[in-house]
Amino acid sequence: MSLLDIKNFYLNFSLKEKEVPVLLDINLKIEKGEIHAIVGESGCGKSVTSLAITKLLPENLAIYKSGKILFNQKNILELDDKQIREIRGKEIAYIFQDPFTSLNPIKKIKDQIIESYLIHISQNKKEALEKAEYLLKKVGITELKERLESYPAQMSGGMLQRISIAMALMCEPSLLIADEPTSALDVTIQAQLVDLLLKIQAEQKMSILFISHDIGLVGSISQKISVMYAGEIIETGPTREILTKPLHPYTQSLITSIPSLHKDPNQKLTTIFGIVPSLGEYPSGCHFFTRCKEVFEKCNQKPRLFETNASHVKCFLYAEECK
Amino acid sequence: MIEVQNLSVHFTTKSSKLFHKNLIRAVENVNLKIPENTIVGLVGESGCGKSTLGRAIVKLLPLASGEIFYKGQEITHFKDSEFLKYRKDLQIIFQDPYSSLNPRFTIYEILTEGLFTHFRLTSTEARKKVISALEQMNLKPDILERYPHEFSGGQRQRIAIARVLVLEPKFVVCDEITSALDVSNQAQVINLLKDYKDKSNLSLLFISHDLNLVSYLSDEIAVMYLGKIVEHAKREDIIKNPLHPYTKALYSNIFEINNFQKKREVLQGEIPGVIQKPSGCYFHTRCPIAKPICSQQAPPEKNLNGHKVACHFV
Repeated sequence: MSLLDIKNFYLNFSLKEKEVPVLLDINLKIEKGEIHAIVGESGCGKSVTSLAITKLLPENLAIYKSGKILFNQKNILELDDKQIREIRGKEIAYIFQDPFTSLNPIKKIKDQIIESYLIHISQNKKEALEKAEYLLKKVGITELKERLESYPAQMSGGMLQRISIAMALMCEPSLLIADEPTSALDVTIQAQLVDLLLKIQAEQKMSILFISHDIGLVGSISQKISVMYAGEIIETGPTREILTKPLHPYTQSLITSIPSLHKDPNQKLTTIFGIVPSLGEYPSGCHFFTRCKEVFEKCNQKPRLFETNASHVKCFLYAEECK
Repeated sequence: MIEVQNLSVHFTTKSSKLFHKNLIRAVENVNLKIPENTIVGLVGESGCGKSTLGRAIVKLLPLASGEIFYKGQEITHFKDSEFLKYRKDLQIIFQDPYSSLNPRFTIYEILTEGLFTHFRLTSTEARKKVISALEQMNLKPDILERYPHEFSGGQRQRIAIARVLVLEPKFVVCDEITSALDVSNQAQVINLLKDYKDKSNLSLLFISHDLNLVSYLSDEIAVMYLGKIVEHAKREDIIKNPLHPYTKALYSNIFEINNFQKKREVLQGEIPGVIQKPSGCYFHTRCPIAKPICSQQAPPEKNLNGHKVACHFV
């Protein structure tokens, strides 16, 4: 039984009296204790997917068309606000990219960090503060007393992101959704935080949905990767498979377009011609159809998810009938 | 081609004390040589003074001290009018292609503004030059009458690069030119820039926080920490044999696409602020091999067969 199981999920946005599809046929499974990464370029729907999981998208914008988001076998899309609030922050916690905007600037750290604990677990403030101090120590915050009394603006980005991690862990969630948690940070601080997250994840056996555009980073920490392009998950599979034997032409180009330390400088980077289709302008068939090098007649139809040995891929190159 | 000696740039900011100002030594006593037809990568964490140094070299910022030489000629104290004839040779490309292109200008106006300032050209000649620069950047000439908002980030950055290349510069500072772009667009911009550089005799100071990118692209790499260059050497020397503990830490901490199992030596502590820099060697607060001398004396810059490094224990 998977902890989170998203099945054939479709999401639309209502923009100026027009409905545009945003996410199409999303299928995503996260097992207990697994780190699952979503990668893709900006605007491909990574963050929207993560927010949709607890219905955090603005109500006047998001239309949850069809499909299921099963969390512990409960369909989140069928729950009412009150029931979702029971899960949000307690069972499923978030860490966002920019700690300067995700923390409240006019509240002391102490008051923000215990908020979810007071709501979900116990009204006992002393107990909550003890828990907060324990977690802050764990994430490497020193001079605890002063830090608890200070405001976000008095601290560095790395330190605030540590506090966000501690805050997310207050109610011991079974799923942590980390949306580009280290993208705003410098490399040395990024390495500190990634090691910290991995340590805590191993101790608490929680699952992490890790969203990032940095494939090098994701490759080092996750067990599974889903690659998104223009609102669809086009390939999903074990990390090693995806990075060493990518199947989808988009994944292949994406991986070889990354410059790396050990790449021969005389070897060119792969480029993908054209631009990512913007919202509401997705091609009718395969979404990568307009930019794909290996396009053939069949590609103006919609590919379903084809299964190979270890991965699932949405590309007709791997369809039985086309082989 | 370009040489800077003892270059320092200072800023002042308001302090919490009345009538008191904080002095920020953004760049301190930097010596840097950029040879002809070479890409020098400049890396370091945010706030270490990379961009400030880049801007100071092309004379966009006042210097606190130091000299800049261009082809042996000292250009530090030139007034704007005297410097004008060198301006077309020394150019800069900025990070954000959304704010660096004037939204009220057509692409033609953007690309020809510099041309008409520096060259005496008829409009047909200018048009020809502009079209050839656009072609170098894989853009079609029919975009000339359009405005910047009609283009994606990657296309805009290529327009911004074409605007600089049309002047046929000799030295260009590239200040995080691909950080706002996705990897597939980044790859395109980097490939085109590399092609152009191989065809013409161009030197680049390539500023970036992305070590993977800089290591792939550059001929030489300089590493900055809190306003000082702590190590500068040829690409292979830095990658295979980094000497400064900070460079070692940076390379150990990056995530690589084809090396997942690597052990990371994680540094302890935060990056110190630039107002109150540590004493002695600035890196001693986070350095794994720091000894008492490191907090007392700033290390001198050593030159080991062209591999420059500032550390007591090298």
